[in-house]
Amino acid sequence: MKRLWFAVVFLVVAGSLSTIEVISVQNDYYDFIDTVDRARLAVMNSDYEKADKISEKMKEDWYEKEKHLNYFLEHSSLDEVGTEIAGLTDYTDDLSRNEFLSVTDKIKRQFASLYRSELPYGENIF
Amino acid sequence: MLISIIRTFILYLFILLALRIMGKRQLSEMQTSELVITLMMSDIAVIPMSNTSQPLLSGVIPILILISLEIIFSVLMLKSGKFRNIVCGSPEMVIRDGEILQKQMRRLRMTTEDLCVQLRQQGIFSLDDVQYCIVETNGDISVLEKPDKRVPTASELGVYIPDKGIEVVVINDSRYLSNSINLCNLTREWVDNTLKENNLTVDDVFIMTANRNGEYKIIRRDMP
Repeated sequence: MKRLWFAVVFLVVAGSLSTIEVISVQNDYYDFIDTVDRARLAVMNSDYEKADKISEKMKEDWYEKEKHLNYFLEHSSLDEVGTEIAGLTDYTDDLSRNEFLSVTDKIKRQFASLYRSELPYGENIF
Repeated sequence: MLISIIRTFILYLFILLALRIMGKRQLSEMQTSELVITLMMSDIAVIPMSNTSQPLLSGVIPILILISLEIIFSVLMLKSGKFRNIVCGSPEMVIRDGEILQKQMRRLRMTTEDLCVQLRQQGIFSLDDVQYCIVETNGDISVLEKPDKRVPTASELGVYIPDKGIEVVVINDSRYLSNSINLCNLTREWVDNTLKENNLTVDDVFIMTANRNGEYKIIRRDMP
């Protein structure tokens, strides 16, 4: 009977960890996408100083987020996103406007793919 | 590399704990489902061990689920015979009254060679000697030989054999084995006194066995 309790505890632990993962990744995803969108908007309005500040902040935020996202998501995929974000500040000028929009779009898609792959949808399960 | 080493340590301890929690049954009499789970666990553990890009949790969580399912299933099998039959199947008789049940053997996809191999492993070299043969759910066979081929028991021969209880190792390589000492209702003091009577200390003993009646045997350690 003691073993049965172990089984129940293990199921609860596994369930809790999975729930924490989904909630944590979801929160980070929405936070992050919001920041990326603000940076994109700044570039579209030719406010490159603001875009540069947001990109710099995004880099710092990502560094913090990545620490706990690494517990749940594949490290190499997170590194790819991190590398793209680190290079964003190079594109915050009028000449590189299109590159900035293209890279941020890629970052959004990469992170969205990482986030969606953790959700309990049929396409992820099967 | 260092990450792999640390992860290997963690996962090794984790798997060890998992096998302990699953119980001794897991190691001694594996059912097909248990064997599958053990193989799956080892495969799952290897992924985060060798690929440091994978989070450790991606190995730990599936193992937790497998252990839980295994425990829950074994409890359900214990409570319900019907459930046990669904998961493990039921024992199948392949020889009845000395006659091979060919239909059953075909159903089990078992050849006569497979049967003969298993019989030989049980020390039976002729099919004619077998009265009943049952294929158990874990794939082993249980055999009852024909009456004239069976080894008679002491009671059948009318011989009295005194019960000396189980003989266990009480000192192994100069170390006391408390569990074994308790198993044959002896005490550490009895072991020490016996050694004293033989002018020995525990360091001189390689193996000492004893039974419930206090009969013992000592094998001394070879001098270097």
